Amino acid sequence: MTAPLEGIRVLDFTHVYVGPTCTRILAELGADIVKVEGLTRIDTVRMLLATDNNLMPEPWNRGFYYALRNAGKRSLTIELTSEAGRDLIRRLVRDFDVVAESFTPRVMKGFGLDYDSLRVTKPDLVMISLSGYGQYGPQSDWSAYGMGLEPASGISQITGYIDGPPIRSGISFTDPLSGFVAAGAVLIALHHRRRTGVGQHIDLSEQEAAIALTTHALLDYQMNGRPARRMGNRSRVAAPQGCYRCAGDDDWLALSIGSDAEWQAFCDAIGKPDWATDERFRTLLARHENHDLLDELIEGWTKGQDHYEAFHLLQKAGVNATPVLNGKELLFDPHLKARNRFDLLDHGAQGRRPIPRHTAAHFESFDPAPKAAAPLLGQHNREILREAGLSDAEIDELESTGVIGNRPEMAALAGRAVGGRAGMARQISPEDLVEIGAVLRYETDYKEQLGLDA
Amino acid sequence: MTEATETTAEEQVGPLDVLTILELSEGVAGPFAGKLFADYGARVIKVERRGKGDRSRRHGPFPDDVPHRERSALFLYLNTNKESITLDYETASGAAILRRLAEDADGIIEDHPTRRREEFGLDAKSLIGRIPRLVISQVSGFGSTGPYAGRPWTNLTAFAAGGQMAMLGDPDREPLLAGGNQAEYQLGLHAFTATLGALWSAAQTEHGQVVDIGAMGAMATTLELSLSNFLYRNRKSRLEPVGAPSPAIQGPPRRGNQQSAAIGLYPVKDGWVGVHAMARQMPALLAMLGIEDASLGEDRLRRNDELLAQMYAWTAEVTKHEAYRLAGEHQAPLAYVHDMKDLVESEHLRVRGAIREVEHPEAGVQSYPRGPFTLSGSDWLEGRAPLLGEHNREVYGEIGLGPADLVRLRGAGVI
Repeated sequence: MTAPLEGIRVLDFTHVYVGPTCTRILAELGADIVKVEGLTRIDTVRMLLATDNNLMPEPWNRGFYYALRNAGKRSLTIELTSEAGRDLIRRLVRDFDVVAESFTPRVMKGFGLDYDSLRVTKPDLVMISLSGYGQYGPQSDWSAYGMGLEPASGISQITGYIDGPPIRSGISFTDPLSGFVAAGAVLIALHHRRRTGVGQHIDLSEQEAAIALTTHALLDYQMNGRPARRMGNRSRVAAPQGCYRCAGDDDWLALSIGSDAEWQAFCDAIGKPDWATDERFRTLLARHENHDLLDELIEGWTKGQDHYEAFHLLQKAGVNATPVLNGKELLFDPHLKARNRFDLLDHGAQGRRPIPRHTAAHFESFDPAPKAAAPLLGQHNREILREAGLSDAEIDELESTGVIGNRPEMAALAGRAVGGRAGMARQISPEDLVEIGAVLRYETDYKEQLGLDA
Repeated sequence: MTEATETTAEEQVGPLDVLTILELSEGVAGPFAGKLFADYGARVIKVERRGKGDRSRRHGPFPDDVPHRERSALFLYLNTNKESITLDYETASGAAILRRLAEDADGIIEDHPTRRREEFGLDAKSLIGRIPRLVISQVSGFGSTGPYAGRPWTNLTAFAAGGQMAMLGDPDREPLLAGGNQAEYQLGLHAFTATLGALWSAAQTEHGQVVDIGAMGAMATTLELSLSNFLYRNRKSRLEPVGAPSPAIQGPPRRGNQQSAAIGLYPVKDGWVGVHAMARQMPALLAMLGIEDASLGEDRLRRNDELLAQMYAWTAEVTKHEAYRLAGEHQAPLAYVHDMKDLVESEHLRVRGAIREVEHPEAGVQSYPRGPFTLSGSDWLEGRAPLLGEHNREVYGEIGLGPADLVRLRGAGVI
């Protein structure tokens, strides 16, 4: 059983979210992803969300955000600020098929590691450059990040309660979606290169990738001159459609009834057959007209139901309904478990942890499981450089001159960034997190629940 | 990186131009995957039901809200660069035609098939038995294995079950659906990449396969942190020895429009702006706000209310364009909520050729976004969505059906 991209090698300079999402998918499809960090510039998410809040002994190897995004990759540290480091990259790239980077545009050019430079040693290189606003254009060097970019994609305009303000997506929308688009882009370029022998440079703007998922509203605006309307959970077609409170603290049922037959099935299933013949609800148009009243009545029923039980009851009757599942529930859902959505990977001292897959597809020919947990900093330095033909003496020299290594510079830990100021947030205790309302509750036996120590 | 090159539609050659995909899918998910193939040069033959076509032709929105099967915005957007044929393949004659078309295809994208397909030898197993290199990607709500396999689904219900919904909306009311059919679009996106992966394998091994993608699973891949929030926060301070029982913290799933003062949506004079400043962007944000106290950045979580007040005060005094411009100057991560007009009029997007005019015989000239990325050495195609059955003659001609045959088949309701 071979994975499709086995034998494909990616030199991965991307950090944080969007780029690592792209290369994570390529890793699951079998590619060898060599993640490059510098000792003065480690992926900042290595310091985010330390497992069990325990930062010791090596804080840069305990970030769980990093573990989620970088499972299945190998780690190589090369200091890009040194000419020796950059020469090493140019030497390595010969043995790689793809280079991925997500620097602010023109940084790679400044390093002499842009597409035209790297093509000298690797003429058929495929390179993907990911950035918030693209490689050129009036906004190409603007800061673009999470909620500071999402609104520029159009998604915020069309997301919100009925006639209410725009609402955040909650998932840093442009980042994961652009990462998925990027994986497709690399595959396109690989297909093309296999056929023609020619590589390409891919310019992926997160803004544009996200726009691709939001824009039939664009046509509506042009056809009818009206701004996109926020519709809450309602549909222009199905009725009733909405999200209804169930028994419990914050449990909800999503419901979408698209036909008269489905409405009948729903009414029968919940023991309210008279609703199906009630003039106010009998037809689709009537249900639309009386939607508010219908919502109240439906919630009168759901309030007494467990959201999972209501889901099973209604699905058995052929009604479109699902529970709104939160992070914890996803980890325990039997369907997602059966579908191998989480891999229990060994993180050394931190033990085994469930890591969500990034590839949603199931293949017959192979299983897209990550090969291993996210790597420690510089874990594969020696291995990778030996593969590239360097002698142990050469590798020792690089180590002693700080071009490669396993311990970041202190400045890197302080999160050196734009302006050079130490931007690291102070460590905040869980008690304070509760006090400021950032967290909800504790569960002391989560490891047992998840079977992590078994 | 060179600027986008201008070529005519006839001259354009996309990077996938040797691939042929049969699209047996309706709505959003399968067609979005098909669109990405078509926009980047693959030949995508969309098989539609005669008379009605893809159900998104009935979805709208329509010009002046007058339904017309060639003027539905959803269809027009999702089906650019495809060829349309009409075919009822759940007939003996239609199935024979489809099998013939499949012989020339590299891949099929389909909705979860009905059992009727087996009767006509159109199930995946039969097709791959005849055409071993064929890749068949099936999109559905829950996939074809697992306890919920085969259950009905909609955009809303997949979105709810997949975890994104729990994080969207105000904490004290119902969670919210993201706009624009997100579950379906994202399912299509996963299907696109997966199909390309399987096609890559097929070219090497001469073996195709069935690829099975479910929307609930696709939704669950996009969760940045909500899983880790359950697991990885310890109530004890970090001085506690490792190995002590580790409680888990569950973060509040929804925080409305402010995750914290530095991450949220704020109203401005003529709209809203989004801001996202982590530790290293705080200096830039504070500079833009005109705040000199740098410690407010370092202490931003503990002094959240103070920063919140500053943000509200500043945003109340600016317009969305002013805020965007100032953010650009200061390198602060802020963007205003672009409505559709803003997207069409965005100078940045125009300079990048990201919004292009496309002409359609029934819907006129509209601005569409071009493909989500550009490649230096090949084109993204600028074509339009097809009329229903527009390519019957051409496509059926290629498999040896002449005009008289088409008349007969049309009369019998097959085409």
